[in-house]
Amino acid sequence: MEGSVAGLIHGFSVALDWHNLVYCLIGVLAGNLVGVLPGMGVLSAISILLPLTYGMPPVGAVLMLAGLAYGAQYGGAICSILLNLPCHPPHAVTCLDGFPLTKQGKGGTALGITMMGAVFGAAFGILQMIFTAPYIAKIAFSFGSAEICSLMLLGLLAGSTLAKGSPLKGVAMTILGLLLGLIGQDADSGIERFTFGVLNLDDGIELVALSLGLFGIAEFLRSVNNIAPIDTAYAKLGVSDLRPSRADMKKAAFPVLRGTLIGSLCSLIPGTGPTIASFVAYAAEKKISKTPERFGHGAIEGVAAPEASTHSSVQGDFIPTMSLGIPGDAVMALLLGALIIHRIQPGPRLIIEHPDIFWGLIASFWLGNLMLIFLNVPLIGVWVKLLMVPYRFLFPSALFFICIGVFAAKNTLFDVGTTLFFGLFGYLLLLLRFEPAPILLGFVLGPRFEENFRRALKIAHGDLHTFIDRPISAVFLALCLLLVGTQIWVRLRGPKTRVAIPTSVLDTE
Amino acid sequence: MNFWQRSVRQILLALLGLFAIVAPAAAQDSYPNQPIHVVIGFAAGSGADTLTRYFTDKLQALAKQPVIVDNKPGATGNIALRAVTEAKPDGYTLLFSANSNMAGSRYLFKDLPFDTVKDFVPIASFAQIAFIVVVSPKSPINSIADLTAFLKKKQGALSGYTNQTAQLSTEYYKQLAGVTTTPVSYKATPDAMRDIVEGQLDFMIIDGTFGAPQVRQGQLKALAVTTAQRSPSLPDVPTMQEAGVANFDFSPWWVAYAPKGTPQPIVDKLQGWMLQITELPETADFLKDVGAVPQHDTGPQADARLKAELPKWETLVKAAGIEPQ
Amino acid sequence: MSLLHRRDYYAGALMMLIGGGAAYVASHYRMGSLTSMGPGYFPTLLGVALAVIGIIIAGSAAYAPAPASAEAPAPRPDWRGWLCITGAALLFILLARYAGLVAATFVCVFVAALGDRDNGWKESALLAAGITGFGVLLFSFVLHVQIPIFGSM
Repeated sequence: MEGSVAGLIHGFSVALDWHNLVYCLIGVLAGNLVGVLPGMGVLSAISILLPLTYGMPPVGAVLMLAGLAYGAQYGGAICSILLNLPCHPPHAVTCLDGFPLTKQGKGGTALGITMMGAVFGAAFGILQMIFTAPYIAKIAFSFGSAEICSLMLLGLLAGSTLAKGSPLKGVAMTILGLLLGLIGQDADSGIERFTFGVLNLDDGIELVALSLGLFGIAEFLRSVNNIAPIDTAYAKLGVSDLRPSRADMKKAAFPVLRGTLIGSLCSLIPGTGPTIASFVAYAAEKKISKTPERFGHGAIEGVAAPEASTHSSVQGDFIPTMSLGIPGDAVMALLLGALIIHRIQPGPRLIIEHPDIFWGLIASFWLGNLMLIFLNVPLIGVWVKLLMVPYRFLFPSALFFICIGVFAAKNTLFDVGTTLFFGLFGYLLLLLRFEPAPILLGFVLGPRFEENFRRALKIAHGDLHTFIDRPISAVFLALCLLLVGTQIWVRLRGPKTRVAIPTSVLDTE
Repeated sequence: MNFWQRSVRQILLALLGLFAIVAPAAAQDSYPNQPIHVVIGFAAGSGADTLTRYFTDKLQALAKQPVIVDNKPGATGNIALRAVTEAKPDGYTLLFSANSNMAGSRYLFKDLPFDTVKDFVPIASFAQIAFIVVVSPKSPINSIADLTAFLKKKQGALSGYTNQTAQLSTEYYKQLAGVTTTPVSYKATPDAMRDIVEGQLDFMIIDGTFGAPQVRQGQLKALAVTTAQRSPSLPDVPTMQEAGVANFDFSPWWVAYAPKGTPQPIVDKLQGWMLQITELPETADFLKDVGAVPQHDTGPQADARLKAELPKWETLVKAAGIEPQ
Repeated sequence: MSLLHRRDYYAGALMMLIGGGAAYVASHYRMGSLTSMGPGYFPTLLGVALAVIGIIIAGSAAYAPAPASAEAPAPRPDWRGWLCITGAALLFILLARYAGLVAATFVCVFVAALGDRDNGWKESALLAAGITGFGVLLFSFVLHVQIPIFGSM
């Protein structure tokens, strides 16, 4: 404990050096910008900025790149809430309740709550890193293939209830997502599945293309020439609730806490990133809530929890990376690559050999998040004014940003075509009264579920009992049964009397 | 439209016209006078990417033009290969690739729209990465001899791999040592790390870029390196040959390529620069960090070397039982 | 028959089609067994499950009573909007490949803007020009996106 406090003090002395402050500021500003732009993503941005960091001292480089990573999360919620357009997959769930809130004139409130969740989530993640970094290895390593498989199953079951429509259609969408996720090379056998010879599909469908097509282009197709009544109403309601009310904050408090915990749990398990964390947090809130019907129509918990979980997950992702040298995802891998280019060896000895970097980074997390709050909270008013721009100017611009953003993810125009395809397909689904959100969850979880299921069995030499024998896995499976059990019980109990749902005045559905 | 709008429009049109005239007039006098793009078939952040960025940074200083890394991951590197064959052979699009990709792809895939030997002009080789045979630090096995003996006795031993190159090298070892294991694949290295440390896997052959720092920090125990010579980054670790597996030499070496048809003077210039970079002591130091050594083949030498290796790859792929896609 | 009836019928039919198709394609991959799943096992399972759900959805459309709240009728087909949006994206791809970022951006925004009935030629062109200027500055100069400003990729 003392070591941590001493380290932290040292870290602040490093981070407050004005050079490093500037690097951190540039990083978070760039991150915020990237977060607001659809598609592009932190990965593309970091790989573009990486060469610029060669001339910088390593501490500065790391602070800047890290700032990009967590700064991007601040921008991500804006378009989701105000425009129903998820710029990045972790913020896709935020659309579900964020946009209805905007339609009720409470877009500013939603953004304010998001900030709240962001700060809390990030702070938790940072504290986690400071005090629990040594124990993380133990936790992370006890999640073997069987445990991850059971967890994925739990996530899938919980996720199919995400949709606000018919649960059967929700399950169908989840399965569709699972199938889409299987497109590409099967790691186990090496063969290509469902690619029909198309080389660009060998690595599967690009998540960002799928997400922006289903949620972005499909929405444009639905809303074009259809949105006139909302236009005038926005102007009338104006920017009423810029500040979240006391009541809102109270309602959001526990969801933020729960979301944060879920996010930090997900950050410890390799392969579960902010996207999964946000979906799980949303599903959990909906399950726990006494009034789940409100979700999808502007429930503040549905915004607070996933956002908090995303932020805590991203901060938590740094832990295995900085303390073990094992990158949790591609962004962290790039950060490690930056360290290597600066001749710094990542791994458990980093904290001893380069305390500047380790503790300086942690201190910069505090400073960076602070900078972001100071930057974003005043901007909420500006963003909400964005709603004043008529939709007929917004959507063509957004379409362009989507096209170029998706291109930048993998430098290929094929992905832009994919986005268009899923835009059209997604619109078809909307017309048929499907809710596309669970597709994303199935897409992300499905392949991991299959991969870990097969691997767990290979390691256990074909013994199915391995899922029950291993305690953590057994716990998750028990939760699955609980979940399914309560679903069935609720059904058998009979339909409840309908509760009046506070739909927005402007709901055209 | 009012006067203001009309003026703006006119100015824009004029600017557009100007650009249209100026842009194509790229002077061809001396190379390079534009940014150079280096395409690689790996995602940003991967070991290959880190390796590449070191060299592109140095190349940029020599070429006095920005050298940009184009990550085109996918299809085991084939997307990048195809992109380069479709690029103009003017020296502004290059490829960094490993022999495992160039040789392996021939036998792992049918109907590729390019030929990895004929459609690319090698410029120079620049690095060779060691793969490391690792076990858990808690494992009682301390040498390859131990490992082979262990595998011969144990039923259903498990070996892991995260990419095709590692898979092939494992098969090579199994073939030469006369053992069998059940291979377990991993999409992500952290998952593999976890399973090897926890002892779920009996051994793994792992990429040196990731593995060398882990071994040095004690997270993994190294039994041998797959190169023919000891790796400077792990000088205490014997080679597979020293450890008793005769003729074992399996480690990817990286070459800079230009598309077929690139003018020879440009290729020669690039070759000069690449060889200059690989001679730097700084390069050897950097590569040591990532478990690699510099290479110094000229273009023609690299070409001959690759061609000599092709039969070995063909046998390997067949032995591993991988179906050509 | 009410409109809803027909819509769920098609919804179910689409799921049946996709599920059935996936199961068919996947069944040609090696199956393996539950404890040693081959590449075909899981997708076939999923395809069949999806098809079954599709049948249930379509079936429920025929037998379920019409819900109490009135369902909004399907929107009138808006070909102008749809064609413009789709066309804009396609043109972006084409022009980015062969003509460069400026052309691609301008045409994309221009055509998409025309999809809205309230946008005229001049307004769309102005919006497109503005976005092009801003976009090229941001994406090409600041963010170094790999599409040439002019010329083919």
